[in-house]
Amino acid sequence: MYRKPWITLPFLAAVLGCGDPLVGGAYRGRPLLALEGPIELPQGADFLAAAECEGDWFDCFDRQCDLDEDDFCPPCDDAFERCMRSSAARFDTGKLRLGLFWARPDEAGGSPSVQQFALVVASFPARYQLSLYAPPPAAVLQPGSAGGRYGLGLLLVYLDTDADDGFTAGRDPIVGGAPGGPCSTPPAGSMMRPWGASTPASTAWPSPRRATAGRGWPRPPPPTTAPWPSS
Amino acid sequence: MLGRGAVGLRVDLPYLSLEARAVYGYAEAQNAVVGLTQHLVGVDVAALRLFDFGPVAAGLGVRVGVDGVQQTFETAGEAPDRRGLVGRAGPTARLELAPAAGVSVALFGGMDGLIVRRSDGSLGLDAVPSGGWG
Repeated sequence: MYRKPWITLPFLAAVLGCGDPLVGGAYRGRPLLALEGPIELPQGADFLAAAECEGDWFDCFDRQCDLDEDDFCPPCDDAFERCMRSSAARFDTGKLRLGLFWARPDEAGGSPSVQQFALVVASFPARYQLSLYAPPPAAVLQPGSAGGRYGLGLLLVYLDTDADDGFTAGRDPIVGGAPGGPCSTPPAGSMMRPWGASTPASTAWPSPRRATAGRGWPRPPPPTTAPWPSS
Repeated sequence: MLGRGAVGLRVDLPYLSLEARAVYGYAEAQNAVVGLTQHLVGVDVAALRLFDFGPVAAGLGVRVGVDGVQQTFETAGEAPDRRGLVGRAGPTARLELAPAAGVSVALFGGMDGLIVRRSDGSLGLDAVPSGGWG
């Protein structure tokens, strides 16, 4: 007799909690694509710290030097050296972001790719898990030879130096990526070397170079991923 | 945007007040991928013990109810509509001011324990504050 409530309550709870699982405001839908793999970052804290200092170098360049004359700006180079020597310039993993970028097929020579929101769980510098909840923007899709349309995606690791939670071209340096994807080279004009490249022993810090807008992104090789369905 | 309203009846017995309500709620949310719209229709009953202090009454009680919830999503991806029932129960407190016979303004609030089905299929209990005026 006394056990009846313990029988009834779970049954009542099951009835009241029936139906579809309900979701909160952070729900993003069903993942259309889930990826997992390693992340490669150039070796050496100095190399990554250089990316941090380059942001200051660009600001300095804009203020004090003329892009048309030369890529070198002695006052800013000095500031860069000081930045690298300061302890504050040590690499901060909290600024690392892994972004999914889609290459634009519609402009000759390429242009800055479109970054798409994707839920990324990354444990730098080792691995990432990425879930994509929406197809690529229509502007980055191109017809495939076997029908359908496809987009070329690049997983790039960058330093969110301006802390806006997004990639800012010319400001946020690209410092690595996920290997094995369709893109084997970094964007032309990027401030850093291709991921996986070793830092030359003779120069511990890479020289800051001006990222020019006209050079844009390289044309990617033919796609190796399954096409997106036609919409 | 969100809103919630209720209409109900209350019967004041010598030692207890019983209240029954029909509830409607609406909520919208937006994140980087999905826009969510939620409609809620529910009923609940409450048993309250109220104490009169002149024109003011205050009391405590227990409210139990069940809500039907429909969630729809706007997305370029995949997010089918969801429908579910949510049970709720919890303590409630009430403060009333009755300036004239048959007229009262009340503040009420409490903590609802929600019985919900989680994404993995299991049942869970969430605690959510509730409150309002009327």
